[in-house]
Order: sequence, then C-alpha cells, then structure tokens
Amino acid sequence: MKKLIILLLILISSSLSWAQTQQRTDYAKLLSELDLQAKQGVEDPDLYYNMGVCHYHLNQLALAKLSFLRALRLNSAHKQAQHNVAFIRQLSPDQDLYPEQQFIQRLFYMLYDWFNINRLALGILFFLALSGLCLHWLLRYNPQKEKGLPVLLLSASCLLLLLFIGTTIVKTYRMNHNNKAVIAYDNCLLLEEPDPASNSGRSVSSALMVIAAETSGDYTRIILPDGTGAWVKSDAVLRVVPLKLK
Amino acid sequence: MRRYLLILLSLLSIGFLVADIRVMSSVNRNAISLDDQLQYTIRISSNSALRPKEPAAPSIEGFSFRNMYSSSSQQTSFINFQRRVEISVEYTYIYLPTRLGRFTIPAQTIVVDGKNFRTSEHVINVVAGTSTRSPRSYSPRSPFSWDEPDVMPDFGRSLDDIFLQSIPASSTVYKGEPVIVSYYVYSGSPLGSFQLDNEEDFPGYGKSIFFQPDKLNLERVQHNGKTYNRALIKRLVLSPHNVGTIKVPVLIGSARLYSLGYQSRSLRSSTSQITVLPLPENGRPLDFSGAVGRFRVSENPVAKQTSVGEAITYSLIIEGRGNFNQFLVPSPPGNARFRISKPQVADNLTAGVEGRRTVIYTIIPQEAGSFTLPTFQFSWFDSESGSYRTFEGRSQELQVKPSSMLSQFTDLLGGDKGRRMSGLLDKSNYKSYRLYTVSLWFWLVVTVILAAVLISVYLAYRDSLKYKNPTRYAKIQAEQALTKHFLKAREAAQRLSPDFYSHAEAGIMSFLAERYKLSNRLSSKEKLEKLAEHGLSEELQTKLDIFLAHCREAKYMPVEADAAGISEDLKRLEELVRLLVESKRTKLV
Repeated sequence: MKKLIILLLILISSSLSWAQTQQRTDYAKLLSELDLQAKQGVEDPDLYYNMGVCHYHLNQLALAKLSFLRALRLNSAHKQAQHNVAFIRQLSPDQDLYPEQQFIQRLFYMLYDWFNINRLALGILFFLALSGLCLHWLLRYNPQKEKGLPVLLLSASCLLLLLFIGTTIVKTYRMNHNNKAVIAYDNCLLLEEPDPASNSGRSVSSALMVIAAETSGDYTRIILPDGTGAWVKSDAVLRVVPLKLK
Repeated sequence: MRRYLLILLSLLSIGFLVADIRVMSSVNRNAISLDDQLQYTIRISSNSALRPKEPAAPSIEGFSFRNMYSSSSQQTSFINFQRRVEISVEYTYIYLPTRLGRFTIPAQTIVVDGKNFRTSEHVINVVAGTSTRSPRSYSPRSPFSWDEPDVMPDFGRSLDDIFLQSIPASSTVYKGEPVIVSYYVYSGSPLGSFQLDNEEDFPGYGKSIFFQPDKLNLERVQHNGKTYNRALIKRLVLSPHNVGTIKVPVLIGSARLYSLGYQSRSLRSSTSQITVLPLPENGRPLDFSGAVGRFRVSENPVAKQTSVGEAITYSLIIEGRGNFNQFLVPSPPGNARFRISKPQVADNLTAGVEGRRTVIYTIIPQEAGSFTLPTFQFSWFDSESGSYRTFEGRSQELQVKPSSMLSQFTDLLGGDKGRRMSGLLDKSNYKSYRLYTVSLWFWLVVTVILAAVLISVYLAYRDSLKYKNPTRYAKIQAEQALTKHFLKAREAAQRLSPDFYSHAEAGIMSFLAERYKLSNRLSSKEKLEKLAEHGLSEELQTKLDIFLAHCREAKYMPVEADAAGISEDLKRLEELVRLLVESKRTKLV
C-alpha cells in the first residue's frame, strides 16, 4: 500500500513538472505571436493584456507589468489588467513605497479608472442631449410658473457635461503623454545626481512602477511611488510610451 | 487505501491547525544596584488566539515584589500570499532588591491552552551602588504632593547647602555615540519636593529622556566629606553630532526644604562638558551602517529545507547600547535565486539607545535545488575598543524542493481573487482600440444635438416674443406671411398663371392685417383707409390702392395671361414689398 501511495505521489509531481514545462513553451510561442502583432502597430488593450500574462508566466515580472500598464493606458477600465497590476504590486519587495490610500481616494481612483475615454465620450453625448432638452424645456416653460426645477436640471446637466468634457481632455492628454515606467531589473541603484559616483545607497527591485520625469545623457530621473526622486540608468527604465512615440 | 489517505490528510490538517506557541522570559538587566528596580517579563506569543492563565508573580529571593502590569499586541502580515498572525501577551513584574548578592529567578511554569511551558532561569547580581540606601527612607514624595517628613532637620546645616549636579556617564565619547547624563539634587536638609522648571540646551547634540522618576527616591550619600540627602531628578540621553567639546543641558528648578517650616530654594545644575571624538576614517567598512555603540550581534538562521515559493525568515539581532535610532538596517544581499524582502524591524529599546533590535528578512526561493544562502552582514563602530567591527552571518545551505501539491491549492482554498494572476483572454483577432472621440459618428451626433438645440432656442425665442414683445412678434409673423405669399406669387408669375394676382393680393392684405392689426371683417377699401391712421405715407397708400385694384380687376376679369404684363406687375409687387418692409422697420424699431 505504501508503495502505491509513493508511486501515486511521484506520478503526480512528475506530471505537474511536465505540465509546467509545457506551459512555459506554450506561453513563449503565444508571446512571440502577440509581439509580432504589437510591432505591426495593433494597439489593443486585450493584446497587451495577453502579452502581460505571457510575460508573467515566463517569469518576466517587469515586462508583464509594463504590458498591463500599456493595456490600462488605452483602456483604464480593463478589469483584468487592473487586477494583475495590483497582484504584481503585492509581489514587489518595494510595496512599502506605494502610499496607503484612504477609502475616499480609492473610491475616486476606482471611478476615474472606470470612466475610460469611450465611456466618457458616451457620457458627453448623454449630458449634451440632456442639457439641450433641459434648455428646450426651460425656454418653453410656462412663464407664469416658477422655473426652479428646469433651471436646476439644466445647471446639473451642464456641470456634468463640463466635468465629462474636462475629464476626457485630461485623460486623452495623459494617454498621449504617459510618463509611467517600470524598473527593468532587480537591485537597480538609485543615484542622487546623473552621475555614477552619487550613489544614494538605496536600490529598488524590478517591476516597480515609477514616473520618468526627465532624461540627462544616459540617466533618467524617476519619481518613486512615495514621491521621492532619484536618478537611474536609462536602460533600467521601461517606459509605457517609448520616447520615440511621444 | 481510503483509511491511509484519511490518515495522511488528517496528519496534514493537524500540521495546519496546531498553534505555534512560544513562551520566553527576560529581565531588564542582569546586574543592578540597590537603587534600581528589576523588571522581569514573561512573553507568550502564538499564531492564533491566546488563552493564557495569568502567571503568579514569582517569589525571588533577595527581592521584594512591588507591582505587575500586562500588555498584549497583535501583528498581521501577508507573506507569500499567506496571512500570518502573531499575537503576544506580556506580563511584567517589578521587584526591588532588598540585599546585596547573587540571586536566581527560578524557571516558571506557564499554562497556555491547557499546556505547560517552562521559562529559563535568570541570574541577577545585586551590587553596591555608588551610594548606600538610606536606612530609613521616608515616604516618597511627588513634586505635586507633600508629606510631613519624619526625619528631624539638622539645624546646624545651612539651608543653602543644596545643589543640583549633572553627572555624564562618560566624559569622552565618539560622534553619534549616545551618552547618559544623570541629574541629582543634593541637600543637607530634609528635602520635601523638587519642581523642575526649565532645561537650558546647548548646540552640538540631540537629546531624549532616558528615565524620568515620578517621585523623589532619597538616599544618604557622602559628598566632599559631608552627608547629603540625594535624589535622582532625571536621566537624559545625548547624541552628539558635532566633534569637539559639548556642554550638557542645564536643569533649572526649585526645591522645598524642611527646617522649622518649609522654604524654597532655586537651583541650577552644574555645568559639565563632554569631549566628542570623530569616527576614524581608517578601517571604515564600505557597508558601514552608521551604528556607533557597544553592540552584540547574532543571527537566527533559516530553516534548512523549504519549497519554491514558500517564505522562510532570517533574523539579525543587534543588542546593546548605541545610536539605534540613527542607523539604517542592512540591505538584503542580492541573489537571483531568492527574492528577499526589505527587512522588518522589531525594536525593544529604552529611549532609542539601549535594548534589542531584531531585523527580520523574508526569503522566498524562486527555484528548486540546493543553494548556499547569501550571507548577511552588519558593520558598526565599537566605541569600547575604538574600532570598526563587522558581523558576518554564517554561510547556510538550503534545500529548495519543487512547489508542493498543497501549495498549488493555496489560492483555491484562500478564495481571494487578489491572490491569483488573472488568465489569458480568449481572443485571437486583435484590432486597434478605437476611441469614440476620434470617430466620425461621435462628432455627427454632437453636431445634430447642437443644431437641434440651436433650432429649439430660436423657436423658443420667437415664441417668447408673443408675450415679451407682441409688436415685434406681429412684425415677424407679417413678414413671414408676406414672404410666403410673395414667393407663391413669383412662382405663379413664372408660370404666367393668373394666380399671381390672388397670391399678391392675399400676401399684401395678410401682411397689413397682421402688421397693423386690422380686422378681417373690414373690406379692402376700409383697410386702406385705416392705414392712413397708422401713419403710412400717402404715396405708398396710393401705390397699394392702385396695385390691389389691379389685382382685383385681373382676378375677376381674367384675360389671357400676358407675360410682359405679369412681369411688370411682379416688379411692382417687389417694389411694394420693399417699401412695406422698410416702412415698418422705420416705424417699429
């Protein structure tokens, strides 16, 4: 009986190990296909998302996070990409650098992300039509009656229309001028100046999300999630929107 | 077979369910003087809820029990997607030594969840201090209360024989090395209370309170051949950050003395100086952490076996006295085979300068195999020997097994979506993401809505004139009627139709009726007569009269359409329309 159990366990672990190897090969193959489409100029959030999943399973955390961020750049409401970015963040040894967000902040960001540019565009159409109807109603309102209700509705719909237009402009600008980046490798040294001698004694791990603020020679100034700034070698920074595309 | 599997599963379950309970005891110091107090602490920690039975205060020979207090804490962390909880309860017992000697705190038996745990023994040396305890100390006095002293005053001593003295623990220290300064009040007369009023600081150091007694513990001491009552007022920790000589803070306060009544004396502590030496440049290690002091460094090695993805911990323990709050904990050594977290620090320190710091690293192996763990190092400046020292952990072998079957199901059992990576989307055909804001249909819809709004506004505006400006409204209506009939008349003229005259007459009459509010019951002649009352010029009236008569004539006596005639009449009509429109513009504005 003991032999049978041992044999069973060996069989299971061998099959798991074989399955893992097979899975890696499949992911590598799929990734090369997806990469080819991305290079042909296809900009689909789902394409970037699937690339991210492949990178993750090939143990390339930084590239995985970069792909998920690229998916979110196009569609900030991409739920799976949001989930996976949060998941990779949990794995990061530098997760303490990410600021703790209060409930209201989280709620705000959740709403901000849910309204991707297309949803905002539909919102603009809706509130534009609503504002028009409210205006029409107000103008046709019986002049003998109190106009409080139509004025209130018109004001509210106009305000929401302006909010949606403003948010769309901001989001579109941020999409086209996205400065987000990901640290490419572990133990990336942080420098105080764009000079290898100005070592601050700190380092960060791969897949840390940063803001690429400026470039000087071979060095890029990054802003860490905790708001502090530092210089790193430019090859350590993987930008969500490559410089040549900006 | 089923039975064996059940046993196997039961064993595994037990492994998860058994709580990891640890019981430890510690003392605040192993050598104390008769002036000091001993703190004996029993700490019980577990990874699940604790139900300890409160341990009785141990009976310790040579000590008298004074007080006891307890505290509890709970720490939760997530390591490798596993929630780890550490719940701890601490019982602290305060003892006062009663005599000199070497005493042993016996091992205690602690009952937790029905199980017995044994603590270790502690040996305490009670040594003679620099002073001797007063054979009979009177009641402790708070600065805010007063008791009648039961010591007769020495009427031969002056009440001014009182002073406040600062005593640094060391007169020479290294930059960054903390030094404790004690402040004592010495009095020849019985001391009732002491009120601390102010502290005067000097440049070159940072300071914090090391010990602040809440009562005057008086003792009889000899100083310069005289006997004094002495009490500790305060102990400060100075952290020098300038090289050279620094002055210790000066305490200012007032003491109340008993001598045939109570009298106050203002006091200012003596000035003391400390020489601060720079840290030597020679022999400074590259990874020098900035730690200065007298430290003992040890490590808690990791487990020898683990599996891929399962977290193990390594602890570096730094004990002693030094600038704990001024140095950084060492960074984890890099290694591709292990993911090592940033260290967690657990401090058990007094005033940030004395005690124990535990630096905990979480290590997660990334691949299976047999590996040598990277060694952890810590460098500091040892102020006792005046040299730099480096602790280097032992090299350790670690067997990393492939991830276990159970770990494959951890996420499933956890039921928390946040612990898993979302999988691939089932999609093979990718198209570039189309933003609605750059689509034609979006802008078409916007244009349609805006146009509809503009039309609506215009119509609403026109309608609103009916109430706000009826004259203007009538003008617009009349213009519209005129235009409508004029267009029809012109069309009829182009067709050489006799209808031209009907449309021309109807247009002009409806315009005049709308514009000048003439009743429809009036005949055309009467209408024209009424126009004179509205200030229409005689010339225009005449022209209108002639044209309308011509229209009636053509209407009731139809003849063969004459192209030249109709064309001529159309011109006359155009002229009339122009005059009518202009006349009302001048009149109505």
